[in-house]
Amino acid sequence: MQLKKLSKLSLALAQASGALLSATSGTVQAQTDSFGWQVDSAVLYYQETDHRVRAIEPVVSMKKDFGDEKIFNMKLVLDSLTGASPNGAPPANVAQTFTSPSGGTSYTAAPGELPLDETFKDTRGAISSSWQQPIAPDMRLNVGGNISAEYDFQSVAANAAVAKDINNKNTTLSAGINLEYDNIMPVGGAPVGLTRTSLKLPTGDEGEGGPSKSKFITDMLFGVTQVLSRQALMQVNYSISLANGYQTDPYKMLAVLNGDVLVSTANYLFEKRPDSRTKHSLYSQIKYHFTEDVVDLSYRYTTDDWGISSHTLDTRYRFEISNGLYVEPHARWYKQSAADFYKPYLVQGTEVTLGGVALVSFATADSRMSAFDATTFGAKIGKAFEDESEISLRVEQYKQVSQTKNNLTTGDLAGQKLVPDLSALLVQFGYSFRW
Amino acid sequence: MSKILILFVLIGLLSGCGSLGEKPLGVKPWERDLLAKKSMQLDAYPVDSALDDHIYFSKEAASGGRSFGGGGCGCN
Amino acid sequence: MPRLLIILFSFILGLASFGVRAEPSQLDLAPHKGKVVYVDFWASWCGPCRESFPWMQAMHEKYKDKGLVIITINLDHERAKADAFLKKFNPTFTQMYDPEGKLADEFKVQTMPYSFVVDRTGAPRAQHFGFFKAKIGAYEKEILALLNEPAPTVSLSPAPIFIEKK
Repeated sequence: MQLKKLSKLSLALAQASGALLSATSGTVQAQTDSFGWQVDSAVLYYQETDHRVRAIEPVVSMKKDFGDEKIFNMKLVLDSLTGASPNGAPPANVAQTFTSPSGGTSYTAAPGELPLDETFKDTRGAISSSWQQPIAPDMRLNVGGNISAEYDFQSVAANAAVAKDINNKNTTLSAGINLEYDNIMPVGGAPVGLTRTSLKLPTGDEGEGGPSKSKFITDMLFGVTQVLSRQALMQVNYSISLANGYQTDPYKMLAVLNGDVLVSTANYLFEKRPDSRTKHSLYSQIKYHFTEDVVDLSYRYTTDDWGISSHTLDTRYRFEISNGLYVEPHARWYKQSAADFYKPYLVQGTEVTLGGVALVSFATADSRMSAFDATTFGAKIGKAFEDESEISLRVEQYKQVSQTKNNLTTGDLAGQKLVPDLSALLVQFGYSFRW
Repeated sequence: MSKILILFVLIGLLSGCGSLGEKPLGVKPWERDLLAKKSMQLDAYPVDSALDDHIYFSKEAASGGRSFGGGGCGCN
Repeated sequence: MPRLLIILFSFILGLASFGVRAEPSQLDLAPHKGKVVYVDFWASWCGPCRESFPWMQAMHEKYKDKGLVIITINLDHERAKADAFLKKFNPTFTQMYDPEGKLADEFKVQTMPYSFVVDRTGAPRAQHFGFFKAKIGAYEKEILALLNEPAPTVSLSPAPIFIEKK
């Protein structure tokens, strides 16, 4: 029996080096000794409530300063995932039974229950590395690569960035580019979008459907960092992301409502997203050092041509207690709008014909593309030792509250929360040391 | 829209600010003691932020934003 | 007449701001006439400074009898941090403390660390912006070359004035 990878694939779609130029490469500027490795390791435990996803993620990041500002960095991540995730159909007043795309197995969502695809287990591995060195006075170059693999998804990426210091190193200008290629091989093949789930057409014309799909992403980032005073530092970045290729989740579907009654699940349609997506992001961050404590505040605005825009406000306050012991509470507020083609379900007659032909070009019921507000509240406690090693424990609570309204007062979906709230707990234990 | 405009003006100001007038914005090279501390790095805990970014990327539609470079001790 | 005085006064002030001092420098190199003096500005939070100390100690031990004098000037705000750093390296050369950065300002320190070398006549001959392990050979060659120059019979002592880095 094939273990399903449905939601694992959705997670995997996101896992490819999405974090552009995330500073794992390190800004040597903080005190480092040459020779020897600086090792940062951590284990993250992530658990969603209501039997949804659970992940355990060990990470090891190693940095070696070869002296004279030449730094090598390598990171290994293992991701072990179990659980179930929404298949796109909303909870209903009636039971819904689904058959797995690979055939054979079926699962049922009881009335009022959010349909979750079967449990699955999978392990993903990713390795990334980077090299940084000066290339001119006050100018640094960073080049890196990233490979991620699990059996139905592979990603490879390369990135390069330059940073130039001006104004006595009080201002730093940086620019970077990240190129990523993803190859997706859905179990049972990718279906043709917006066709009935019962049909499960693995092949189609014009590249639709098929055993493997791919996408290519180009990210570019431009930033300015400015020292404001002995105690304050700020950064402003603009980035643009261009994605081309298969961006649909091959297993997610949309329920179809005929009047106020759900059609048979066999006639639900597979989702379909556009082949291209352009995203813009503007990020600003400020850090301020009080007598001992440090506050960090950042804001990010994003917008894309799928109609999604978002605001993120993030703040941390690090209380230096004594002797290297610190406590850092953290709060994050996030708000996003829905994609233009987001629909919690399709309406028969106006959006899909009786015969199952879609009247819309694109549609998705993936909650990730819906409108919601999210908050994160947590704290980190850590202790830095004399030998520059550090242990830490971080606990955070993440909550997503849907902003999708249900206007139906009669029928199969009346009174249901079309997109149930998401709640997750994060626990991370970290240990850094010199080796 | 106006938010973007304000932020772009800020970028412009920051780039220009550094070289305007007698007293540019910033500190002398020997006044970077606090900026050199780990707690003052823009991405002080890259492992934490990478793990967070991964989770938010898989649960939200927006992603990324950070970069590297700047701040710190400014040595060499 | 008063206007002339004002102009003269402003001129002197103006000159002072250009580094031509009306008062003597805090750093007095006169006692070291006839020797090669290596002056280094450092701080405990500076990574490359940590790399430079063992090298400076080695140079001190190797060449002190040949006439090399090393003077390090600490720029930490807190003395305790400087002391903790020094405890690790136990240098035997001269230490000076400049917590308010007055000397750093005077010598227009542009990087951390910053060092300059003065020859036996008291004239500034070299300056280093930062410390690079790859350049250790070159740094030592420079010192040796200056040590091999003869000591002067007549002394001259201008305070070192350097060309800006950029």
